[in-house]
Amino acid sequence: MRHFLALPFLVYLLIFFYIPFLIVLLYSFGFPSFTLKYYSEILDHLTLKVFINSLILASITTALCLFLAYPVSYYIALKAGKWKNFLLILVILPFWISFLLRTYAIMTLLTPLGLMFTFPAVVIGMVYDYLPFMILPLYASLERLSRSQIDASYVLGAKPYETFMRVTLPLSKPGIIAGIILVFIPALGEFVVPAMLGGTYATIGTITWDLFLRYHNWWKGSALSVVYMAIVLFAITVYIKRSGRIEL
Amino acid sequence: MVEFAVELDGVCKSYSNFEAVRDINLKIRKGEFFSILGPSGSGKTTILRLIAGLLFPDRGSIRLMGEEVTSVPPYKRNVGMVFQELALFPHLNVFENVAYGLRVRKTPEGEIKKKVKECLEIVNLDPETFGKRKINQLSGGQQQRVAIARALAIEPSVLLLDEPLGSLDMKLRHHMMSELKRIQKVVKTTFVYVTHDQSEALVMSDRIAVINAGRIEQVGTPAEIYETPATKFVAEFIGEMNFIPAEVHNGGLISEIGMMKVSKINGAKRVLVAIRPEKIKLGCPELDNVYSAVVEEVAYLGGFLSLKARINGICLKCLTSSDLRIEENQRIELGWRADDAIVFEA
Repeated sequence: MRHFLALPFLVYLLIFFYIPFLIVLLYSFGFPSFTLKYYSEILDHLTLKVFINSLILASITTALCLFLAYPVSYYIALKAGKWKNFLLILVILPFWISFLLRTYAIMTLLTPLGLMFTFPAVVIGMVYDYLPFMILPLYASLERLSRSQIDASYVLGAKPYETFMRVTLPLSKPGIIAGIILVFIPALGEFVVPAMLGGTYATIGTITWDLFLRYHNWWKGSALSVVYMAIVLFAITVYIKRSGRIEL
Repeated sequence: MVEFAVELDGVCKSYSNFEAVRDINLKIRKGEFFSILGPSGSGKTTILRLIAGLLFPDRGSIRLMGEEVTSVPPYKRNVGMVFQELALFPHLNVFENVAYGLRVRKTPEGEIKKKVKECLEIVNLDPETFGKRKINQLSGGQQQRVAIARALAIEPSVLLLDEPLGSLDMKLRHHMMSELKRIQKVVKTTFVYVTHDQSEALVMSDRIAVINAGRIEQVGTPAEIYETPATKFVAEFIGEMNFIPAEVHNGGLISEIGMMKVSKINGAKRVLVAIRPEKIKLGCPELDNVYSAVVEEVAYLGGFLSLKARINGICLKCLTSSDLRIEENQRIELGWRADDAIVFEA
């Protein structure tokens, strides 16, 4: 009987995701007729360029988040002691303010620096928005690592750097994988930040938005969305297969 | 040849505003099974971490095998440590856990194989069966053995054990106690064993340091610690002990139970006379101290009877052979030799 408790969410998913997705799929094939025209239209060098743009932006964002988040998570998990919960709240605190509002706030910070509508502005905005999604899973995996495992490595003769490479890093791998997935996927499809801070920097997100809402070309927009989803789905499947199980 | 594996000279360590250990002086002989025994929070783990280099003393100096190591980091000390929570590496299999210290030392592959095999055999784990196993596929006792093998693989100058048996059940604990003793005889390494369990310390150790509130109360063999405790704390902490408050009068002792004869009196006016339950004999009128008592409680312990006998306001625990037929409220005659009583300042 208990699995019926999952029913409300499944119904929710059906109405707000699977059915809309089916509609998108139908539109991509030229609903109400049937054609592959829209797929052939979007598979040109322009889409490829935009896709590469998105890939570059998502990769840089993910890499920066990882490098910025790791020391923070490490500190909170292993060194902060009684300040642990307070610091975690500080990490989560920005979530209490609307995502759009935070992006507007970044605009007022970037304007005096003369960075508005540049690529660095987009990266700064993205890293700012996505950093907690990297810190939290990293924290969760580092928290499970006990201080005595690091001590054991020292006593066995491993210097701090070796200890990090041989113990800390391998044991935090599930967190790194989860963090990368949580940041990379949304960053790849992101359109609000590039649209607000990047001016003409086109990403998959911004051109999908343009196709649907500016040019009202639902068919081409749908085809682009389907291709994008297929690529992401494929990439993530390969990534998870290769890096073992994920823990969120 | 150095005589001592570990020497601590006037070592002090404080955490923010709490003094963990104060003026610790210890000389641990090479090849010795040495225990540091004390209640939780007494600073015994701090001493172990100071020896390992996981903590550094505020004052004093530490020598390992005669070499000054006071400010040497842990990865350059070559000590082995078995942690309370074992701290095995879950991402490595049994073989790689044991090989860890050797890999870090860039030992050639062939030697690593030989040494890991040897260490697993010492702790009675078959290298063929267990080498490839993951840590979470092992029982608690097996994990314990891997932790010991891992610490021994680097041929440490001293093996530090931080309450390693705390998490095991009673039966396994007794088994591991004799195992540890056996392993120590095989490898002949100096063992420094931290515990709050007096039976572990008494059974395994060559010598014991009893520690309380960050200070060493007494260092000695298990028999010395038990028979001639240096302080009231040691007398009370190790084994069972009866304490009788008394006053010194004209070279004799007067207490609530009457006059008492002891072999030595210290300078104090008010004293505590300590006597072990098993030193109290029943029905021997020739003893130095003989009293008439009423039995309040009898507990049958198989080979022994544990009694609580009252003399006026003082209740004494006695341990006697269960051959005797003794019942509650029975009047008995009990006594002890003057030499068996120990006198402490009250």
